[in-house]
Amino acid sequence: MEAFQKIHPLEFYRKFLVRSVRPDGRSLDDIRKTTISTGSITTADGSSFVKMGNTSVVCGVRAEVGEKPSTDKSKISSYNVHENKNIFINIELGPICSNTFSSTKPSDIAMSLCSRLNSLINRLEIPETDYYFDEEGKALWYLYVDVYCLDYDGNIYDAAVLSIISALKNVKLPKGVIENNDEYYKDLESPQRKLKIQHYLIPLSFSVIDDYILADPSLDEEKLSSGTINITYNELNEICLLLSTGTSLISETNLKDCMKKAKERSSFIIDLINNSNVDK
Amino acid sequence: MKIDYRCSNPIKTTKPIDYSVYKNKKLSINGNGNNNINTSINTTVNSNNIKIQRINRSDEQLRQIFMKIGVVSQGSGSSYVEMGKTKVLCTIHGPRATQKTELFETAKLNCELKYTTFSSTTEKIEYVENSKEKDLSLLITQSIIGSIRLEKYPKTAIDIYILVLNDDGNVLVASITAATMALADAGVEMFDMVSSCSVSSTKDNRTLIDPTTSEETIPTSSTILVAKMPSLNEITQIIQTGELQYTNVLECVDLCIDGCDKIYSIMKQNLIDSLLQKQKEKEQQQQQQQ
Repeated sequence: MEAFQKIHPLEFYRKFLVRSVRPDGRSLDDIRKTTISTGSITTADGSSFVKMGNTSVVCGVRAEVGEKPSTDKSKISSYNVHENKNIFINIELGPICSNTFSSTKPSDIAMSLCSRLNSLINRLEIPETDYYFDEEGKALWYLYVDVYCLDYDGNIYDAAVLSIISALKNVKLPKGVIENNDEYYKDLESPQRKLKIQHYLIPLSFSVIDDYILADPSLDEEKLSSGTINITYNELNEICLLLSTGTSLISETNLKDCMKKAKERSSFIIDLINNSNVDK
Repeated sequence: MKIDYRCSNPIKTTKPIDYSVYKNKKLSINGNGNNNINTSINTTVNSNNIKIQRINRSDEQLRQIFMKIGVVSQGSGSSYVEMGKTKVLCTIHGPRATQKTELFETAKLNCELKYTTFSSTTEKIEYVENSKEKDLSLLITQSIIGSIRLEKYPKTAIDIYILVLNDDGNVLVASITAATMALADAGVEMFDMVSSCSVSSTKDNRTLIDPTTSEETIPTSSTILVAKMPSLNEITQIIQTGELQYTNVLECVDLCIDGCDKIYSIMKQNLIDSLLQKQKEKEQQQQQQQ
């Protein structure tokens, strides 16, 4: 059977899909077991670890201080697309997670994913006062969010979104003190504050193989698929991101089905994020 | 010009320094620094005038160690090692054939260590490999290369990738342990497993085994690292940095060797346990199929 899987992977999958199951025992709508834990990395200002089946990512936030961006438009360099942007997201798909990636330069997947995640997260409504370093807001906190993939087994987008939102909710910023105008210090003795993020992001991805739509695809399924659908909702059931790529055509009813499935997941994900703190 | 496509901030930012350091400095300038002289024998002062005192751990005691093998599904072998708060993940790819190694009679061993950008509270770490990481990768390669039977795998390459998730001192020891465990998990033939241990010796004659970051950064201290193959009783590497008396060196090496043996027994037990676990799972699967 293993030989058949290796030589004709698509034919192998079709044999299963006709019976509405997948080789790993899941039905077409089943999502792999998802776990989230936050706060396990002590050196970061906020961190999370997400595991979906075998896919696992770790996300860390490091907070740094910088000047307030000048309102003078001519001084803003051209590549800064998002104005007043305080969160910078990067995703690293290194050779640690799969042998298809090299360590020297970021892969195409990582780069496209990175820009997609940045545009998604920068639409989160976080009050500007939350970024103030001192009380008057002379300087601002800048949050660098780095997602490291530890195991690449498909559906990296969902894992990345979940890890970023739970890591941002885990961020604790110390009280800042400015001395001599440009020396920044953090006061670790006074209590730390959290960012006020009211929103949640509920992602769900699908792969299209022939006419079948598979939720939460594994790496093998992603390789065979002719198209992917990424859907992200927030907790108010508003669509934050909907992306359908690939060569296959998707009918409207299928798309509506997918959106329904993504919506159904929201209460489960919100509970998961709320109960993720390991310190409790 | 080489362009880094990673998302970057046009505004220059810095990591803020602990405010208590600033306050202490101000105090000592104002002549109130007499408080700092009260250092007892059991405490050592590091660069930031913070006293080092071990809580719940004696000077000759290792931190709690946790290891697990087979954590990454995509690699041929992998391991995760935790020593206190230091967390390291290692993946092995190979032995695999590459075009570069076609004419080699033995396997080529590559090792790459990378810190995550959030792994350190003080240092700023870039995405591109820096010289410190390169140096550590070389040291890891040198300490484990002697244990692998490279002649068994001609024309191939074995790649070791290590990711430091959380740095709380003694990263090199954790990495060497992780690399050996991952090699064992990948089924690469070895003479013996390499275990290592390091000791930090301070000026007031304290020898601290398995030092944390705050203990490593004491400016006048020196560290010794010993990597050895305990069953063969062979030492693969000794690294000493900093000034030390000859007798102190011997003492420290002895202490390290003791530590190596302790870590080795944990590694061995862990491998046996995970093998038993695997066997159990296999049996369960077979029963289910029947």
